[in-house]
Amino acid sequence: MLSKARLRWTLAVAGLTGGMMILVTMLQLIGNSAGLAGSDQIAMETVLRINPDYKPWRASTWEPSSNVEMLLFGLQALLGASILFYCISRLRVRVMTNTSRDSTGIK
Amino acid sequence: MHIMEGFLPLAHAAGWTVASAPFVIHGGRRFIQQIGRDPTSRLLVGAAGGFMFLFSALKIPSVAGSSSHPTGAGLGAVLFGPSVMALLGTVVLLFQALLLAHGGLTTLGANVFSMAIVGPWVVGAVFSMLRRCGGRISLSVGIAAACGDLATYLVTAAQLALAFPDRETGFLGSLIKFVSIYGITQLPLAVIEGLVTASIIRTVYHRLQGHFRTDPVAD
Repeated sequence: MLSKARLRWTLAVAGLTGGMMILVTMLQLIGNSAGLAGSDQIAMETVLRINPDYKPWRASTWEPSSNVEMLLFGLQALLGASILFYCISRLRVRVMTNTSRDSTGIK
Repeated sequence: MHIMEGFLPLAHAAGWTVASAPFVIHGGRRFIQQIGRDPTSRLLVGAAGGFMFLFSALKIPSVAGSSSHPTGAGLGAVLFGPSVMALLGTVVLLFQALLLAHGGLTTLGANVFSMAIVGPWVVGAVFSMLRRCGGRISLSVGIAAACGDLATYLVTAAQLALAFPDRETGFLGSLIKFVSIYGITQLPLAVIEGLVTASIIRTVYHRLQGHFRTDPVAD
């Protein structure tokens, strides 16, 4: 059985992870609908303006559509947030069990 | 800092790959050392990697109608020193190059050099310098992370200027163009990156004291 404190922590972490994913997807959505150009994209256009003869000699083998891109960025955030919060949760448990035994904190 | 696939001439792409490779290999060795130390170190590496993965997915709208990514390299660079971040950053960039068409395989070396090597190294150097001058921990972390973010984009601008010097004004003219493109967008993002990294460190610092590297430059 999960204790009440653990349950609360787990819910908070799950909420934060989901929130991060939604935040990332929302930011993508805002960027796309407001027609914001990525600074990387502007830089590449500048490359072609400086040197109009330059031909990019290799293209990405697979380029996602803007909806799929949004989803994949969300997935990246979900993965990152899961790893981050999993590790923090485990660290927290270590800190709590260690400090109850002695006061040196985690080592 | 994502130079798109094919946007560096072959010689430049190869050069940056060769320059980055030893750092990534060294980072891999450090990574294995770090996760072998104790379970706490393993969890800290995981947290720093997760943070970088999460943070570099944030595409934040910025001034002048453009958007860009923070790098997320500051947290790990402060906790373990810059070298481990070379490996973690390469993993992030590989993911984005293969799945998102952000960056590319031919430009991976150059992108790794700016985001996973120079960025974390600047963070480490600025952090330990400020600490030695008696700066408070969260302030030092914040400024260091912001500097690392800016350094990453300065390097990208220099890489592009080297490959594409302006016909009339040469390397410098080109550099000014690229720096102004990235600078305007990145300055506010660097501040955000500094604030977030500092607040994370501030929250966990008193619990992590034994795990701070005070001299990341000696790495």
